[in-house]
Amino acid sequence: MWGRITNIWGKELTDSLRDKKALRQALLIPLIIGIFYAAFNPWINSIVTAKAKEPLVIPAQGIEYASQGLLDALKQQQITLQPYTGDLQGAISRGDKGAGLIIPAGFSDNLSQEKSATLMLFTNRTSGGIFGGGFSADRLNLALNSYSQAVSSSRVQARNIDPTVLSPINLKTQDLATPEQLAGVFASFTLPLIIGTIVAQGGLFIAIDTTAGEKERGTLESLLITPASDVEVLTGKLAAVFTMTCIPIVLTFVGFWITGNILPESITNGARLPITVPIGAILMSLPLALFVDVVLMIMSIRTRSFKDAQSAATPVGLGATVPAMLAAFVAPSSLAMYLIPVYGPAALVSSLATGTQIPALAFVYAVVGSLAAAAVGYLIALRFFNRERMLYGV
Amino acid sequence: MIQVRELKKYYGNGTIKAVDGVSFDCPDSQITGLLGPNGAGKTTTLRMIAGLIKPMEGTVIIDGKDVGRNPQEARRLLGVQSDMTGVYPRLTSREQLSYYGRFYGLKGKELQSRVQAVIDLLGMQEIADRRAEGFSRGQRQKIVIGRALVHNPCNIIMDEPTNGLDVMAVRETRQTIREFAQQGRCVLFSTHYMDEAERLCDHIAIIVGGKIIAFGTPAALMQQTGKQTLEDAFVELAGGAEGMQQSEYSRQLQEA
Repeated sequence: MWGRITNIWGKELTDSLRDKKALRQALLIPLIIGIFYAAFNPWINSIVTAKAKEPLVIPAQGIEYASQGLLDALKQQQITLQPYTGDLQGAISRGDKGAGLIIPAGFSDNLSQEKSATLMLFTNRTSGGIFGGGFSADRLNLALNSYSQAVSSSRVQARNIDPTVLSPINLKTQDLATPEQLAGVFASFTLPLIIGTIVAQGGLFIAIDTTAGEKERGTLESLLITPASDVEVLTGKLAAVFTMTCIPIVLTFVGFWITGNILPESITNGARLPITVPIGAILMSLPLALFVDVVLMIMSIRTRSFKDAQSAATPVGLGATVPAMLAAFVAPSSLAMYLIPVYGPAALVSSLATGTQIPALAFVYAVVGSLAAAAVGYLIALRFFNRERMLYGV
Repeated sequence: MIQVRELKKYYGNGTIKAVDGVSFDCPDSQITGLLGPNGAGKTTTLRMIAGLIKPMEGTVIIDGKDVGRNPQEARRLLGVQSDMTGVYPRLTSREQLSYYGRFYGLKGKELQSRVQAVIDLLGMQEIADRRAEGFSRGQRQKIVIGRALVHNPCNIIMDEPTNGLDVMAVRETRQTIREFAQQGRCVLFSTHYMDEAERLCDHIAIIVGGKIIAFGTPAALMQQTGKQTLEDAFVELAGGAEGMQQSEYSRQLQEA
């Protein structure tokens, strides 16, 4: 029995490893997913930080009414007001400009007379993408608030009053998270998503190729004529699909971890993910992959061609990704929830990433849940493995 | 030896009788031909003998093993060349033959020598170590025949083995079939070519509308119909009322 199973396993692996498409999928997906997810968030963070320090030019009307103090305060924050003639509000509304400032007549006089002076800030958050209207308005807002506080302080100081009376609560915040924990916050959201994607995509091509593909090529009949039993054929093929799925899973998480560790500190702010996180992600993904592979094979067995199988397998990808995404936002409320395939392992890896204490039983439940689902799926696949129906569709 | 008894296979809630009570014997050392028009039930019969389709009724015994009760054991005694000429494009011919040989317990040097023997027998030396991608139909057919023979089976089933082959390959295949019988094997094959059947077969079963309507040596069938050639005898036997019934059956099958 094992001889025939390993025969099928070996042949399917050889066949797949010689197939450029399958190989591309096994190697490229991890490269894209692992490296992209590991680099994307820190990279975006570093861009935001850099953008916040870049000079910003804001179109403005009524600059002549601005006090020198205001202009100096803005200049300190690398913000310059540029005179704008015409319909500034219209330009912002149309999206031609992201944000603009109108300084009404008498602004400077009101300030000097210690009255409340009004400024009008217009913004269109849909304009210019993430570094467009909203981003400019937020920077301007921050700078104006800071200037407003400085003016208040100077006014009370002029009356010999301690300016701290304006700040009854002096809140001092300090982030005590370690670099590992900082890296973990980001990983706790991305790793579940990666798990859902990689287990569904990793074995997709070979699961279809070994079943519907073999049917389409006209080789399935000759295989089923051999003394190999249904159990042997199905197990051999599943073993090959699972082996091929393991490649992208391992590469993805190792790639994710390595990428996170080789990124320059200017991007990551020194945040580093401990090795236990990718190891945990791999260990949780493997039993889950077995379950998803079985499901993919059930879908493929029932179809007659590669294309049909691809269409049939589409919901499997969605079915794996949605619970994984849910796991990133909703933590399990009981241990039993770790038994839920996809959700349980994904939630566990999410907790692992943030360094949350996880009961040992949760690991057992997450693995048992996936394996039990795979076992049930295997029995269903075996039931569908009807030679006559598979070959001739009758 | 292959013994077929009262095989039945109906489709469409029993309205379409693909095979309807077929019985015949294929003795060792002889070539038995299964002849019939398109859709007569030849391939369905062969598939039931190979254990790919479960008959509704009837039995198939291969060297004493019942295909229905012990399909794995029965399949071990069979070599089947199906009408599907699909091969694995990314494996070489030798790898494909080895793959199939291992299903029958062959390994190591025994496997290598059996694979080499089949390569020599079918004249596959030039394509033995080439991947099958881009092979011609004839080259693919050699792999299909080769994988049916790699375990040296005593009983061989061939479904239209010369279909699509060039003249030289046809001659070689026919010679190979003759040699199988001379080696003491039981050969059952289906064909559309009357001259092929006349030249090769020791016995011929003519199947029409899922039923065996005649069985005998080519000479006996010609004598039975008073015709000079097997083709004329076949037309005589397969034509008439049964032929009309067959046409009706083909139409129903296609509709189904």
